[in-house]
Amino acid sequence: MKGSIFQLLIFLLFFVVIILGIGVSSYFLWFDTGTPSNIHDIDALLVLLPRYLFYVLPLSIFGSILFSHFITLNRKAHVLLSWFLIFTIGVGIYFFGFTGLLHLELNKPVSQSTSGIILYGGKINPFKKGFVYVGSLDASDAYSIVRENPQQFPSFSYKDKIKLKDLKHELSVNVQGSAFQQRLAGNPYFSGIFTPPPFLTSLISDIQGFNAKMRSLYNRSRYFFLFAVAAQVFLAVTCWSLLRISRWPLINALFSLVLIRGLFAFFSVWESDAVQGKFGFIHSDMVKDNLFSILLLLIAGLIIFFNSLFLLSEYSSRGKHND
Amino acid sequence: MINIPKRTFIVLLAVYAAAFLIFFAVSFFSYHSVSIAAKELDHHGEKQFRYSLLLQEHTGRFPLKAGNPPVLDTFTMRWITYNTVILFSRYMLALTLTGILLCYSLLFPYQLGDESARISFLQLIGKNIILLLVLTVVYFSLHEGFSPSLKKAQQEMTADTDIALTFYHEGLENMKAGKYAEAHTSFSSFLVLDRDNKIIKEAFDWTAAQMNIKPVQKTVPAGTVSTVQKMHYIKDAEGYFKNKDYFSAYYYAFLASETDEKNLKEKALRLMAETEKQISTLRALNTDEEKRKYYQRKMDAVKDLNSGRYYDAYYAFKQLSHDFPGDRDLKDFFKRSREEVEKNYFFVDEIKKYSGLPGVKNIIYVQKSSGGNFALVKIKKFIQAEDGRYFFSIEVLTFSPGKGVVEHYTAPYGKLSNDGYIILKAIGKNEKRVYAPKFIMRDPSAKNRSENISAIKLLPYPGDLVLLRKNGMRDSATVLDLFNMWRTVGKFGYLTTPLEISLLESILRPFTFFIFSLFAISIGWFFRIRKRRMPFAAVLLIPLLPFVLHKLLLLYLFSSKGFYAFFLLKTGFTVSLVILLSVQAVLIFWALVEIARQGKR
Repeated sequence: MKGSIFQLLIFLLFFVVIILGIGVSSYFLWFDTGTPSNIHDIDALLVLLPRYLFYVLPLSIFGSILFSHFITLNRKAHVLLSWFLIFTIGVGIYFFGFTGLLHLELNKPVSQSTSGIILYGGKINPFKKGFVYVGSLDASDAYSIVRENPQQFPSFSYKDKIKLKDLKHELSVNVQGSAFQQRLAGNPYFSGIFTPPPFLTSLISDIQGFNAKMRSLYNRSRYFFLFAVAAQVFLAVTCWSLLRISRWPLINALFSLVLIRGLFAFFSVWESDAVQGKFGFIHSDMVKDNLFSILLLLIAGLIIFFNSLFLLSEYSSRGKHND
Repeated sequence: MINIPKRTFIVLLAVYAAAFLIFFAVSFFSYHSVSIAAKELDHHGEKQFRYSLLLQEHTGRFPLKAGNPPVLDTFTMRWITYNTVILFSRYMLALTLTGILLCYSLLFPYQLGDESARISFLQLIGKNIILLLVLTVVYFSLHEGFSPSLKKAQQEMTADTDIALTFYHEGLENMKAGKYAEAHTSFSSFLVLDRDNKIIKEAFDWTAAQMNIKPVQKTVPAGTVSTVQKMHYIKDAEGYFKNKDYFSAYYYAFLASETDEKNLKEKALRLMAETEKQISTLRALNTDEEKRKYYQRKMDAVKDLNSGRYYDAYYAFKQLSHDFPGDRDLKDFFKRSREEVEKNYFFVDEIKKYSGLPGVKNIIYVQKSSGGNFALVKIKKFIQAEDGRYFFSIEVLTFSPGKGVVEHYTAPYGKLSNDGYIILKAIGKNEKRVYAPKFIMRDPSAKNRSENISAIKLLPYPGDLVLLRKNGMRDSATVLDLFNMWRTVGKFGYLTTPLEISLLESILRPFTFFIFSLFAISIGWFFRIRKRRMPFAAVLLIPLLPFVLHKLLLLYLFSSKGFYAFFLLKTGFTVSLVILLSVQAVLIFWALVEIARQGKR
């Protein structure tokens, strides 16, 4: 009982830490790579934070469940009670968190002032479309502007004053990806430095697709959505067994991390036209919508089956031995 | 009890060796090279090279980096070796963690068995702390010093390949067009970059044979211009006058006349008048119209030379030397006029031969001058060649406080003079044409200066120009390079904050290595095997460990960068550095506490 509650607390603690970490890092990355005017833009942060939290909610839940499994690996706990507590609380946080954040995010669209091109006064700004030198800036205008057109010679064109809004519009670029990636593309000095490593970019892209699907499921039916949430959390909870799949806990722990990453990758593959085309024979929308969740439940079921078949007796005895 | 530090060292060496082999194989199978192949022609004419030359591209069996620009095949082995070391330094931290985790989660618990339950903190880490400190130093030098230098060397290989291929194509075209001298020069330049290339060597020899090169006769200068004293000039002038070389006499008398010494000046002016009279007599005596014209032209050219119209004098003497090739006197004047021209102009032919080379492109910087004035300078291409430093398509926009833009001009070519100026005026060696700055906008209050502008001061060091462009060279920069860049780019109109972030990142690296290695000990021990049973199936997954760890480390470094960047932007470099060092100290303490905690479990 004590061990189960301890594991639940560890799960909640990690969840809070991850959410706080993401909140703080979104503030760092979003607001302090720009012009000084954007610093302390708390209102804008409050608009954007739910958007970030919304993106990382499923990953935070899965990650926290796994960490709680790691930390309590060598502790005595009632397995079924632990599973039940984490499953119930996890589903609750996921369902209500998703619902709440979706409402917050939908109600407050991102304003123009929080995205777009960033210029530094008295400096050469090396944009993709060519260099831009701006003598000085104020809230609405830019002064002594020299623009370079790399395709021409002479390439410099000069203006005494221009509306900041118009200049930014001229310099804007179309970039696919998250709001953060779009903002980075408009910030020439920091775009190279803060471009996420490729594996993170692909994870973000997978998560975006995953969230979009969850969102459409939510809009279609709250019950389908709840079923999907329950299936995902249940799979994460059954990873407890995977942490005991081999005699080497380190490999088990890494395997669980790979599994979580694999879940999102698998979802992207699952949603691809090539795979979806194979299910053309299914005509029921209800089955189609819940197919992925059913699949996750099947995987979770298999994990439990193999665990109970081969491992349960051995590890329950090991647990007693160690404790 | 097993010798923990010795075994850790052996395991780490084994992991490093295995990784090195794998990285070598990856590099070997992912190179991209280009070579020149020759096919012997069945029938070829006397004026035709007996081989048909063509370029062949080669890629490794698994072109993992097919996007890599190719390198000459002579660089291939070097490229593969450098790439192996670069990959190794990139993964060294993950590999070290893998080694430590293997030791503490698998090998030591397996060997210690039940003894592991009684092991103490000191026994657990022992001298491994010293080993980790040594490895941290190795990692730092490899990652922040050696690896960037190798990346730079790889970039140079690519650039040299580009240049060599440009010479190859030029040589081939010239050879086909029968321009053997030009082809010979191109092949010679190619061989500077790839001296063992047998095919190009053969083409080089063949073009040499076609040119029928004769050794160039070195000519002894006909006259020596005294630069010591004006007295010597007048003596020279008198000597030439006696020998009836009136043009030289006139020239030296003119040089002597530019003195403040009254008697000497009078003497020189008298001699000038005398020589002019003699020349006029000669011209009048000559009934031959052509000869008379010759004297007139020669006199005019000497006057141009004396009055500072070097550019006109140069072309006049060049034409005269061509029309009267036997006149040694003219050759001497031509040489003098050329020397004078080169002080203010350079020959466009020098720079045009480099127009096909890649060079450093799109350089832009702000050049500050006195009184708050500053200029925005753009150089489309910069070439550092053996015979000089050349600039293509220069554009300058000058600002004055309160006035805004005061001058805007362009120059098609520029050459760096020895005293640090970019000479903006060029002339053709054979065609009478000046390539001078062209004004788009002039300062109305300084019209004369605008018309006479012939050079601008180059404030950045030529070697730093590579930094003053869009991408700079941050990815292949050592810590020292970063420091130098930080000092340079700020002075020339760029934001230095990104470089400061990169510097903090470089400083963070060795701490990350040490701290994560310490954490790996406690994490390994926490996740150790129990009951002395080897998990054979799981052992097969060991090769995946460094890759998973590498991704996790990248995530940590990326978030750390954002964290310290925040403090940098808020508080400046020094305070953020102090914060970074304090956080690292806390993390080291925590890692040691974790090891101590694990030792008791």
